[in-house]
Amino acid sequence: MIEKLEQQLTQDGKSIKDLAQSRLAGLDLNQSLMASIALEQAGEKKSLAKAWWYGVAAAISLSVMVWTFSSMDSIQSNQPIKTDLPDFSLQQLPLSLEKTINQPLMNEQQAIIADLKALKKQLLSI
Amino acid sequence: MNEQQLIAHAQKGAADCFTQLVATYQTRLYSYLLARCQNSFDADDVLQETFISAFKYLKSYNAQWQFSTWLFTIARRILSQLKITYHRTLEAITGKEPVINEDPFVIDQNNIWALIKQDIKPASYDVLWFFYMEQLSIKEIAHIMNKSQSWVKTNLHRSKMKLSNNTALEDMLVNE
Repeated sequence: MIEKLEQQLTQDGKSIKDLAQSRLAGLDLNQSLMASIALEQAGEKKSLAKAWWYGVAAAISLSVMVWTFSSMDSIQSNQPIKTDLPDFSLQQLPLSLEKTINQPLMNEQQAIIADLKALKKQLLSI
Repeated sequence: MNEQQLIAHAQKGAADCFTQLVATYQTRLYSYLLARCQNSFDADDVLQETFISAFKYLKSYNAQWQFSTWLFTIARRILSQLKITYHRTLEAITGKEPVINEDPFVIDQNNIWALIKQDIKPASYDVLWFFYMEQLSIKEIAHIMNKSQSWVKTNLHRSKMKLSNNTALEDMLVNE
């Protein structure tokens, strides 16, 4: 049975190939393909021409960004902002973040709460 | 010029070399598409789309595989996309399947490839076609299907078993 099936598959497949050949004979595939490919190539050339402009625009915007950042650095170095916060290096930040930044703030917050409580007591005693 | 030279020239943008490749493979590809599609109009579209994609992405062709294997891989992908767009367009516009009248290149309904379409899945159908009609190796078929070689072997075996147990098909084969 399987042998017969295989034979039939091959035999009927050949008739499909004949049908395909007769169809392709009447179909001007090459001409339509060439037209489509020419369109594709024209599109690619257009996009290449545009790509040149994109490159220039990217270079200009990059240089503007670099200039802006460098000028920001110079402003910061010329006019340092003094803060009460202790100095810390960026590398130490994750580990000592709690101690160096949060702890003084927490202390200050606690002090304010204590002051407010004291004020409230004073007001109530009046 | 041999095939590898034609491919190399086409990769550099030589359209005339590509047309020679098209002439070599168009019948094989179109036969598969005629068997696989519902009508010759879809087959025409997929054939054209396949060759355009092939030309577009020719630089990505890996010479490790046969050129036909690469073309069949592209064709299968386009077929799956067509199926999606076909159903979406149908639902969006009419809500029912279009009736394509007077298609002179439709496969005879007594052809075994037309008969087995209802019994097996499209992937199994493809495996059968590539194995019997294209006589591709299991390795090449596995590459086209993006599956393992053992999957192809199992699928082929199961399809044959399923078809040989089909009584209607059996009657037809006995009468032949």
